[in-house]
Amino acid sequence: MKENTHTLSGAYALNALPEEQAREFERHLARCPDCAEETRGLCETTARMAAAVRHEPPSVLKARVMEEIGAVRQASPIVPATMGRSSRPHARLLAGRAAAALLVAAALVLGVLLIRTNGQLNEERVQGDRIAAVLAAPDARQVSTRVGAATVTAIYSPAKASVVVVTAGMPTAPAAHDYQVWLIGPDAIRSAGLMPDRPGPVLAGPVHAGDKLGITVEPQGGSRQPTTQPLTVVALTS
Amino acid sequence: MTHSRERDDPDQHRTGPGPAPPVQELLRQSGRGDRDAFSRLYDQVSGVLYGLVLRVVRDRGQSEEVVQEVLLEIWRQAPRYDSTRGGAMAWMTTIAHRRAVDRVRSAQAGADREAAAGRREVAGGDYDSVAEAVEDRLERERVRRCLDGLTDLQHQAVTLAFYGGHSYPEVAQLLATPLGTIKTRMRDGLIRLRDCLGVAT
Ligand SMILES: [Zn+2]
Repeated sequence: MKENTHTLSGAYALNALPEEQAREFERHLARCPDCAEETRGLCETTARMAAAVRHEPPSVLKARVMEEIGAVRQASPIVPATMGRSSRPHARLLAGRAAAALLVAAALVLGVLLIRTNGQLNEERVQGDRIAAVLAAPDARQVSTRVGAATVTAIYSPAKASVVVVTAGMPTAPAAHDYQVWLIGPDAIRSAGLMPDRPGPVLAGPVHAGDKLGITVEPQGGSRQPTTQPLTVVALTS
Repeated sequence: MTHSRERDDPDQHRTGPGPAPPVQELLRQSGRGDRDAFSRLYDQVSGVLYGLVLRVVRDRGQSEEVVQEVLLEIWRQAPRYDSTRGGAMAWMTTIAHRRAVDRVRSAQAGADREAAAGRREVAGGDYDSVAEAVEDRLERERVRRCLDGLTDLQHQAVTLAFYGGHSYPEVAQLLATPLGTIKTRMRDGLIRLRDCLGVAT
């Protein structure tokens, strides 16, 4: 990447970059948290410039639009670039300290976190710190598995007794349902919470030795015990 | 329990503590096929999107067509909106601006339009001329005051690109200024505008 790529944030936020350069800058954004954060702020700024020229459209337009959306098929949720690069086609266990793929995944998740936690509430910052601690743990290991077209990646630190779960390409849960994460031990199944709608990392714990990680579809708000067959079950320890 | 949302508290919003901004929430619901939510989203955002398209395209009939495409595109793409990458309003504004620019660039008569628009903008910006269209007077005043706080070159580069729909090489040509300088002025101009408007990042 050329050294002056970082300075394209303004032209990008103004939608003034020629197509090819815009796509190139977007690829840069995926791996440069500084530019991603700055660009986000500059795009909020141009949105304010738009708000300053507000002008109500003719009222007949609404009826046309509402009628037409009936014929427009909605897109499926996209696979976030942050995970697409680190996903693997099959369940795979990377044990050991210096697995390159794990470091890449950790860096990408951290990049997302840095953007997300900025300016957000302390509670979420603390959560971000805890997630960062798991990713940085010397004993952290990564397991990725496919669920249909989606990828579920678990990064588990025995020392921290915690696992970070990241999904990519998961379809939205059915209406009035949520995805729920479970820690499945030899004696009991414990809820590890609900997955957020947006593709952010989920921290679950405490993980006991021998626990497996499962994901089910549950009625909105979650269940005390799984009520459906798991979409996937991942062994956290080999 | 370390997860941010307790299982026994289904009323807590899933994306974190506190309610989501209404536009973002409506967009999220629209992304699940909720037409009522999209109807309410339309009421909230169509004025901003139409105003922006009109500002770039400068023709009411064409702007109506473009903003209709924009709204259908928002409906279609709503499942892909990712709040970790930016605000809902910024996401929709970007779609509208791209469509408006596509329309202008595909329909442009060539250098004449560019030069004419350039002269108009360079002459001091004509966003005053849409004053009658601005409903949120306070917001308009605030943005205008902050734009006035930019240097001339920053102001021209930012408004030619955003309100004029020009690419940065076009802006460089219109202002007879090197590409690198224009790129830099766009960035530092927007940063100054961001700070003046108190945009939270
Ligand atoms: Zn950068």
